Amino acid sequence: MKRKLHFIGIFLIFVLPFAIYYTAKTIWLLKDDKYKTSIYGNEIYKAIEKSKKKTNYKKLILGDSTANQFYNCKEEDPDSAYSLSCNQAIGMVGQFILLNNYLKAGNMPDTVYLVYTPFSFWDNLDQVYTYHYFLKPFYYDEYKPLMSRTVKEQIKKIPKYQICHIPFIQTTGWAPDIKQEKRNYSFLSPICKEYLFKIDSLSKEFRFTYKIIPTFVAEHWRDSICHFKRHEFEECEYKEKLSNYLDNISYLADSCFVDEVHLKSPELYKPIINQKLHLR
Amino acid sequence: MLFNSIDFLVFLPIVFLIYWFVSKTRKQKNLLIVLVSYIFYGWWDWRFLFLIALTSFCSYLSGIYLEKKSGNLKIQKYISASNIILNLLILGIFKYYNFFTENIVALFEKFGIELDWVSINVILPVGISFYTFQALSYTIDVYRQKIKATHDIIEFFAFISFFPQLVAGPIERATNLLPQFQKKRDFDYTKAVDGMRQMLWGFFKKLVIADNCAAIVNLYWNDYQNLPSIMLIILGVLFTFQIYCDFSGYSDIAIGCANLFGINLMRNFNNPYFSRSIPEFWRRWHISLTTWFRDYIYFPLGGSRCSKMKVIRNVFVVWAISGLWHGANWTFVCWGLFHATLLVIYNILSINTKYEHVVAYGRILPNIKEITQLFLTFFLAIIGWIIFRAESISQAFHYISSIFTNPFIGNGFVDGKKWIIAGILLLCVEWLQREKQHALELPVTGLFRYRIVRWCIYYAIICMIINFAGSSQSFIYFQF
Repeated sequence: MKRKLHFIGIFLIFVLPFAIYYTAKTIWLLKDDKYKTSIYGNEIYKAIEKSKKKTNYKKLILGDSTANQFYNCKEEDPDSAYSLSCNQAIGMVGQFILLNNYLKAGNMPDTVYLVYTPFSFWDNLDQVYTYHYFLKPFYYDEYKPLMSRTVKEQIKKIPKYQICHIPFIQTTGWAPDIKQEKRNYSFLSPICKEYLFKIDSLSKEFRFTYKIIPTFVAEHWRDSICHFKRHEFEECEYKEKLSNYLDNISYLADSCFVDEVHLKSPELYKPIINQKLHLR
Repeated sequence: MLFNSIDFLVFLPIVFLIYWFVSKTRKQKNLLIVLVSYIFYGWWDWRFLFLIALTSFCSYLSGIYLEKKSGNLKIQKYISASNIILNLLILGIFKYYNFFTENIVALFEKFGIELDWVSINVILPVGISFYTFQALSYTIDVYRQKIKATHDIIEFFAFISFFPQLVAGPIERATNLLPQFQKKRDFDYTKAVDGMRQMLWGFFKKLVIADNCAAIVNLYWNDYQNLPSIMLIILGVLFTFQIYCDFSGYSDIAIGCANLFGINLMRNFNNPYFSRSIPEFWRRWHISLTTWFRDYIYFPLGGSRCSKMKVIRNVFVVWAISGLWHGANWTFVCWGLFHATLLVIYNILSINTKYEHVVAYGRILPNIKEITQLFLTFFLAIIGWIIFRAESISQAFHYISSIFTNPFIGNGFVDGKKWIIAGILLLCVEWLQREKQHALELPVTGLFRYRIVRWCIYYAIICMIINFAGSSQSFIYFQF
């Protein structure tokens, strides 16, 4: 018994410096929400913060990381549009929450652009990134009323969703492994479909024009995109918007991309996107 | 449950405390091991627990009947054969069904016959090859009267399902592991501390080296046609390190973890990349599997005590099966045959490969001859791993030919200072510690006798794990 207790005692003394260090670090990061600017994916916290501000912009951009390459939500361009683009992993529900915040802050935009790469419509809150990019920033009582039953059921499938706001988890990039479900759709995930409709309803209620704009896509995806099943949005009210979206995709050589999705030199193509958004 | 998961971080201390402080008797400890092992496995997918239970129960029964019928060789043969067939059938259905049906359909199609064979969507149960082989070895050993059959079902279930080695080995022999469950276990402080050290080194290899290498290899591998030769060579080297650190890292964690519970598992890796020949490499790589094939397939076929032609046949049979064991894909078979060819060449050339000691034994550095041998063996191992990693045989050959045909230098160079630092550290530590059981087996002499020095080393490794760990990847050998 003595040897066992001695072993446990020595082990506890050994891990004590780590326990002290990480507790202190967590407290320091939580103070004044420092973690929101230093954590991996901090652009989401920035977008949330910006979405709650009152501005005079008439054009609002929501988007994924490809949109963020052109309209970085951390930078402001008074001549351009107000950008809340951050990451596709927040899902369409995350985009809806950002838009809802923006409207609730008393903003009255003329036009809202959703700047997305086609693969971002796949997101059904079942990705490896969902925990860190969606649950940690959005799974609060404040936003829960905006989450549909489908979203809530999907969240319940995410392992350890209940503990996502434990300080040690909230302030680090840790996330559990998520087994991605097999997709039975080619383009539009069920949650994405539901929330596109909700955004459409908001556009009618607040009387702004709502446009979906594609970012650039690597040439080798052309075939896959051609095989997207358009009947998935046939019965939707926004089928025309999505058809136009798919028809207007611009393809670039694979060598223009740093990975399979993000551009190596976005500044070269910004004028083209600006034109699509009627921006200077 | 993965060793590199937060779940395991919670699971292990709880099991440790219950094991040493709550369960008092040997029987209670064994029962606890069975329960927690099933929880450990069921964490991944509880539906497949019945497979382990079925394999364990059938092997347990066959052991008892084999003992009951001792003296009647014919019936004993039937009993052991039926258990072996049953186990292989389960393995075949879950691992090889689609592979065989697809190949049979393709073969018949060549003769103009269309077969309407349905491929089924089977999930490969993790670790099935490992625990099946462990169960098979028990039946064969009881049949060969190397070990007495156990009548304690809990003890036997603990032997098959012992969680540290359940999903990726080492594949234990009943002669080593089973008697340990039959004895009273007392807490051994030195063993437990050594186990913790080995686990720490295993985590370093897995999280710092293997996961960082994996991130680069996975990103670039399929784009090999557009990469310069130097990059293809680097990718080959990185995968060589990835697979070693991934698998030997798992083995280190498993062995270290077992030590915490007073159980000794066999050594599975013995610095394979410090081998002077391919036969030596295979005496140091995945030792538990290599010796399994040697004892249960190679020797019964005649081993090396027969004509030269038969030896060659035996080597090829064993390595084709070994390749297939790694996965239902022709690339694995091709990899096995590649190594069989090398082993046969070494055998024909009668190159002495039975070294008594590790390379440069008693010296700090190897001599020129040893350096040449080390590099040649390492190079051959890389070629093997390229075949192993490829998605098809044509991709493997195309990859290897691209090394010679693509421009030597070009765009697409890997930036990775951290994995270079970590890789050098790994090589240095493993080289200096190559005569030890594991890399963190520290002597109690010199500077190391001071706890503060030892702790500084552990803290440095933990800091490296925290700061340099790659994005979490599953263990490669789970799929086998």
